[in-house]
Amino acid sequence: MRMGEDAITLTDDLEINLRCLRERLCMPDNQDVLLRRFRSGAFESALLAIDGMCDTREIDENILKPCMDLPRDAGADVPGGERVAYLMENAVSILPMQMKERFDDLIADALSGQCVLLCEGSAAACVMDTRGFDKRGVGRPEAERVVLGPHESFTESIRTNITLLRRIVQRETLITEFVSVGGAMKTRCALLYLRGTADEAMLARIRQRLCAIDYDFPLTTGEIGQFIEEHPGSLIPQTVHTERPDRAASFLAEGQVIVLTDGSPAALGAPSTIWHQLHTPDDTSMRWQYGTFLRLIRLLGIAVHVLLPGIYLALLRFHPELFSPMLLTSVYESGSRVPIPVYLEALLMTLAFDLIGEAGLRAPGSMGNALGIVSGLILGQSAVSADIVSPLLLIVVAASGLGGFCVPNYALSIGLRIVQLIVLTAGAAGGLYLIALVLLALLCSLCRMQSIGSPLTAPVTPPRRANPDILLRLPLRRQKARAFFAKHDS
Amino acid sequence: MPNTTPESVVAARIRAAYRVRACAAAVCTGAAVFALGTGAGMAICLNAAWLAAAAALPACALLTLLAHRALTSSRPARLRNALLAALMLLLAVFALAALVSLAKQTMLPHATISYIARTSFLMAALCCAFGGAGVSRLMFALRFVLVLGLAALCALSLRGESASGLFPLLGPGAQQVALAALCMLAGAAPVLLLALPPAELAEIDEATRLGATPGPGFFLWRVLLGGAIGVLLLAALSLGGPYERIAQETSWGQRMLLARASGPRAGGTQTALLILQAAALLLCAAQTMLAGAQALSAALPRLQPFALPVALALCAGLLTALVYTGLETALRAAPLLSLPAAAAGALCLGRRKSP
Repeated sequence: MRMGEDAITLTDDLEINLRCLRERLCMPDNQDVLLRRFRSGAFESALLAIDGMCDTREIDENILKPCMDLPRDAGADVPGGERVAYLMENAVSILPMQMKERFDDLIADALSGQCVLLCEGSAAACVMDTRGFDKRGVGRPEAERVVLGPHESFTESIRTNITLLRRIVQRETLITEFVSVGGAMKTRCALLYLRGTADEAMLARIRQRLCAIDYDFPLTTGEIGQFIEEHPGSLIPQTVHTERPDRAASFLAEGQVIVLTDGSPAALGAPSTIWHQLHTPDDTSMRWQYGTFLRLIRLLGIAVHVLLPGIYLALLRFHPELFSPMLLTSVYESGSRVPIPVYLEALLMTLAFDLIGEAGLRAPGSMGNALGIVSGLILGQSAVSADIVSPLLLIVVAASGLGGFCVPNYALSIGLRIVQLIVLTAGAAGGLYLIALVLLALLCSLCRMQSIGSPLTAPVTPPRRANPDILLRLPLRRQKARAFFAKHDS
Repeated sequence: MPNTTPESVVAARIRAAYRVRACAAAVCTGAAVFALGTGAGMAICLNAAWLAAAAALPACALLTLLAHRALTSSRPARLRNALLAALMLLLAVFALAALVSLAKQTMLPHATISYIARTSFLMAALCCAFGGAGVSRLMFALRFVLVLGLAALCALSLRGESASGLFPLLGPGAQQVALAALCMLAGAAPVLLLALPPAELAEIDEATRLGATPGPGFFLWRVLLGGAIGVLLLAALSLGGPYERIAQETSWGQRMLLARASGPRAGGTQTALLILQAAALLLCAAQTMLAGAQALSAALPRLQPFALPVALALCAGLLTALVYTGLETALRAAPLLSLPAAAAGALCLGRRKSP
């Protein structure tokens, strides 16, 4: 046994153990650490916890008081190695308990809000779940609002999130595995899946990638998603994030694995397909005709968002014959008063729209909405009056921006905004011809992508067995197949 | 109840990869038949080009059977692969030349040919850099758009309801039709890319792959459908552009325009159609370039890490030469592609070794 900071496991000497813990936890400089020594019957014990992270009332009533109330000779004949177990059986009245011997584990548990009970003569300590820090209650989803369907969202507490999921998926095969990921500061992650439904090979791949994360502070599911995806240079996300427990439950049922992290109010689903990014819970909640109609509208919105500014520019510069003479006259008339090239004009307006969107998102509370409307109206009107932009371009950029709000996935919507700028540049450089070529190249890139080994564009291409729930949402009674990435014999 | 054992899933995945590959071959064949028909076919036998192009269909069937034979053989065939590499790269250059010519004469009349060639090659190279799986999968996903879109737009843009454009049925005469048919045989050449296993199956061991390779009929109907679409589009072109008008057109790109009755570049329908043609040609170029690189690495295993850059460099060099000597050279030389295709097909006839 080595002493000091290098110590790995507990000894049977309580004094040495406490000294080591004090050193590791930088006591007395670190004033959050509670290390309380007390007499429990015939021997001495100690309790380690972090102030504010644990429920002190629960510790007082269920650990300290019963232990200190033991008669002076209680446990006198108990061997040193069994003293912790003796206290657990005869005094402590807390349910979740675990015996641990490594300092690293004990410190990590204490830092997560659990308390550690050590006894004189025992080389093992008991970790008890007494977490009692303040946390936000279950609220409404902000980024994934629906008309029908549940209105609750994940919170920052991993425990609450697991409970929310378990309340929906009441199956004995729902497995929760805890993994600590990261380098200097470990983040507690939970890996949830349905045994018998999720593919083991895929599960092993996710576990391996999580364990391989050597980034010092992977705090959120968004950061963890970046480490487990295959194509970090791509514009399209390869995992799907959701803040809705009902959606995460549907991912589990499909055979996906859910990753939750402590402190992140979102779940990460993997593997995913591009179609997951385009679906919303409303599509399934409503009758199939309505769901299909909404999906088609959404696709139209995405097409308008990505293509409209580029096509407008291409038509104006390379294919003016496609405009009617009246419209062409009007476009040229208003364009002749604008002093900057049409490409720059379109680029500036598109970026201005993104600027308003970003400012509206970051502005506090209800100011955000007001800011968006006011800047849109005032900037747009003023820009047209000052002949900085042509009115038709303003309409094009506004319609395109409106289409962008149809994208149900926020990460995807940012990727599509970048694609919009690429298409805009292609339209200015080579008209519809270059737009077509650039889109084909981008689609090639999309088609070769994988998410944890599953093709991102499957089951459309490459073909895989699937439900009729991809672009069109056909009746639920026809949806009997499990996702292609689920376990084969499930 | 579907069979869902792990073995059956692997077999299903192999089958899916071949479906994607067959679809890519079909789209390439359709694009090549149409480009050859508007190039060599119409120059020789005017509005009977579609009839001459139909001669490519039996050739497609024959080459499919030969390619399938090569696919199910585990015997190494370096000479065949070398020939396939050369053929595929020439086909890629031919498709790129057609694409550049089409863009110059229709959508970008004011741009220089070298600018269009550079951008087209860059995009094809970018598609290749994303890998064979991406291009094949995209072709599979766009198969209905390419096939139905071309057919529907072609039908919509026909102005006259009379079928008089197809007559005289043999154009300038039976002799010319026979000559054009001979030239059109080269349209079947892209089918030979089926002789190379899809890149997605590289991780599956050869015995499993060979054991689960679908029969020739699986490929045959898809490829024939692709070729037939090319033939039908030529027939529609003849309907839209009568005998006299086609005779006046000496330029390839102009002949590739459909719906001539509506006049060149006269509307959104026509532009959409041109974009579809361009998309088919670009994908055909990228797919054949990738197949060329694959065949090159099979023929010269030492070259494997550099196969794609070498293939791209060869194509870039040939395209540059064509840009300076005139893209019409590719048009005139395209029918000669049937010679290496026939030789590669003959080499597929070697004795088969069972897995």
